[in-house]
Amino acid sequence: MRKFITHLMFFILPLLIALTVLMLVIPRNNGDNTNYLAAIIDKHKRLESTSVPRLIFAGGSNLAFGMDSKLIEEEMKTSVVNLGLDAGLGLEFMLGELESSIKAGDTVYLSLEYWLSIYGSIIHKDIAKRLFPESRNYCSKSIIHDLGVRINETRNSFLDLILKNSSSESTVDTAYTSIYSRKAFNQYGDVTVHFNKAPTFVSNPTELKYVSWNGIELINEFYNHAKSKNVTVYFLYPCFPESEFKLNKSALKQLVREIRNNLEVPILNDYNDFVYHDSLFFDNKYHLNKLGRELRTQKIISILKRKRKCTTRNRVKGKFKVR
Amino acid sequence: MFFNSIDFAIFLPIVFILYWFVTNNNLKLQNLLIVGASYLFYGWWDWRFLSLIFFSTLVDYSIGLALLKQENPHKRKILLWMSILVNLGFLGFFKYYNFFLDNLITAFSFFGTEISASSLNIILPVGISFYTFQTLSYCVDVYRRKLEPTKDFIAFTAFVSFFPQLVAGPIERATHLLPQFYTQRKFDYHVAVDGLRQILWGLFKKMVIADNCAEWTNVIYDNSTDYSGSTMVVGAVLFSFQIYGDFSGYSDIASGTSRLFGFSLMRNFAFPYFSRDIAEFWRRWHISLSTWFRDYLYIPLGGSKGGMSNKIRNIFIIFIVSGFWHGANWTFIIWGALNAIYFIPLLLSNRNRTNLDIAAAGKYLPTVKEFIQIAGTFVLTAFAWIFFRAENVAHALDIISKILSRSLFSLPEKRPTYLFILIVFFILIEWLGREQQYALHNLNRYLNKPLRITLYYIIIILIFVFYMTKNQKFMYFQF
Repeated sequence: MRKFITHLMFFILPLLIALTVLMLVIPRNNGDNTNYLAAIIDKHKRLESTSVPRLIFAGGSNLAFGMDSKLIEEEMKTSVVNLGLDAGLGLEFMLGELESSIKAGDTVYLSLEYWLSIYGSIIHKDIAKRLFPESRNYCSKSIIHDLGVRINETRNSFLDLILKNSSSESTVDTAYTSIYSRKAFNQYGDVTVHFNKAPTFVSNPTELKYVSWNGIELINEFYNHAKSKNVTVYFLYPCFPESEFKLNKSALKQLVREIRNNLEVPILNDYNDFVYHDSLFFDNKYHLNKLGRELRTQKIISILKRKRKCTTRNRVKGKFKVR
Repeated sequence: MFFNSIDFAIFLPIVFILYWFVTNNNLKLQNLLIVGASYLFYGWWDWRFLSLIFFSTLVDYSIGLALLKQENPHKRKILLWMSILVNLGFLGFFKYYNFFLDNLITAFSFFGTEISASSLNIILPVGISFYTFQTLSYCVDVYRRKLEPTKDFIAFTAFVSFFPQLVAGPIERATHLLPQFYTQRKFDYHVAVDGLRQILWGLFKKMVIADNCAEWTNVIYDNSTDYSGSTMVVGAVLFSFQIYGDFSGYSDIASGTSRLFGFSLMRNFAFPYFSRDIAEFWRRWHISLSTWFRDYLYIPLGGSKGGMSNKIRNIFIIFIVSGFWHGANWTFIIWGALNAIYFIPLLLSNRNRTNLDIAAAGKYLPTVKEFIQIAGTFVLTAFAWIFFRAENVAHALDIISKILSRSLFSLPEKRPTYLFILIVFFILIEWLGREQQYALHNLNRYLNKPLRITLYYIIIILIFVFYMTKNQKFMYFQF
């Protein structure tokens, strides 16, 4: 046994030394401040500069591309903060971000991509954490995962050096087009820079298979936490192209049924409310173009106004309850 | 947890250290540790699955003991049927309920009657096809009096849940694996080193060959309408290597891991792509499953005894059931039937047992005839894999019609050169090691120690360079 352990150590040691040297020598991708994910800094600045009550929208880039926060703010006469950024950050990150940011009196609207991953992409989270250190608290800490990210980065940077090519993982910033930068966002946290650019979305629907969504439990936990802080939470379905919707109606129906049966958060709309013609999308199935964004914003406003009316009516009824 | 994950890389050394250093070579403690580690390993996916495997274990353990005490043939048969119904019942419900329901609805609507029934949202427990067959074979062997049932519940639980082979085989026979849980295990340096070597080769097959092939295969198959026949051929070839690398890679890791703990698992793959005919292919591919069907289905049906029509019927039953075992889809059934069609001519001409040794045994290169036979067998299996991989029958037929069209002679749109080079390297190593248990076994025949170490480092570097960051799960987990 001793011989086995000794020989194994001697075999592994050069590999560990080589890996450690590579990890130390090869520069890390810190994601510069012009990175798309760096917009998280501006979104949080806005969050801090707006006072309660606030309407806080949280989700992936379906929100970044899919709403006019300024118009909603004017119509609802309440400050709006659009935290929508990137589905790659994962549900855990988004809910952790909300938990750190919400205050009593806020209203949170969760608009999440279908089957949003709980853990997202460790590369995206890692870049966000380095650009905005406060976000390190948004996810459960895992030395194992962090080590995995670091090894992965080292490997990609090593490949870059050898092949003198950009690898899609280590330079996730450069994998984005010029649309995907911090400058793409306006002061409200909405992406607007693509308005005058020709859409590149090609209708090529892919079949989705229904699987149970494990994010519901996490959202329910967040909901209970939010309630204890006197924060209201609502759920909104994301936008989706018509062609994808038609192809995947059965799978989506099953998912929606699961959400309706298990999600404790009140759902404000129907899942086909934000289904739009493919021509209203910009470059992927969650990113609306200018016109699509306008239509969705109007719909969001009508949903929020309707809800507000209902809430007020119920409050009044409650006040003058017949004994 | 996946074998190719950091979680497993941490789990395995901890279990290894506890097993050899903490249990003090106490057999009962070692078995208990294996049960604990195996349940942790399995529960990592979904802890709810643990109740299922535990219940299956309890049922077959109890039936085994009941069979020991029962001499009445009629009552023994009832006990056996209880085991069959429970095991196949679990499998049938979790795997096939929605398939049968959907087909029933389709059948009724074909005759103009609409029936309303909703499919269930059933999560398929990982590895259920494997461990149910394993426990079922235990009861059958006890019933046939080939095996004494065990009274050691811990040993039996360890046998059922043994983590290296729990989720994707090999499907072990109780006669082979269970006695190993009663025997004192001694640490053997050479066996352990060989185990690590086999794990390394398995990781290479999975992470370099299978996962990289999967990236291209997924693109080609998911967008098959956009590509030419020649690209579909590329996809079919890459899928052949994907499934082989994935599945045999898993088996190598399972086998290598078992040896670290002093266990020996049955061989599951014996270089099937070097087969010279389909019969040889099925003696070399997923050996644990094909021998299971031979012993528990084919032979009880009469095997190759009786008339030609009986033989043909039995062959079709075996291959179709084998296809169906892989999944609840008509594509798997057609895949099985195709293999039966390939096999029948060999059976009828009595040539199904002609190539019993490995191709070019004792030589470096095959003869021209052998090369043609190997290539021909590969083409047949790659063709059948099209059905295995396709989403549905229409998809498979669409792909085949493209391959048989003029676009077969156009330049493929997808030409992953680096992957072809890796596959050639892989085939070369496999060819050189084809007379061994696995490709890297007994390399000292060809290479001295410094060269062997260099080769291991090259393989590790290739794994580091080519592993896919999107963790592709092992394909056979879905079965």
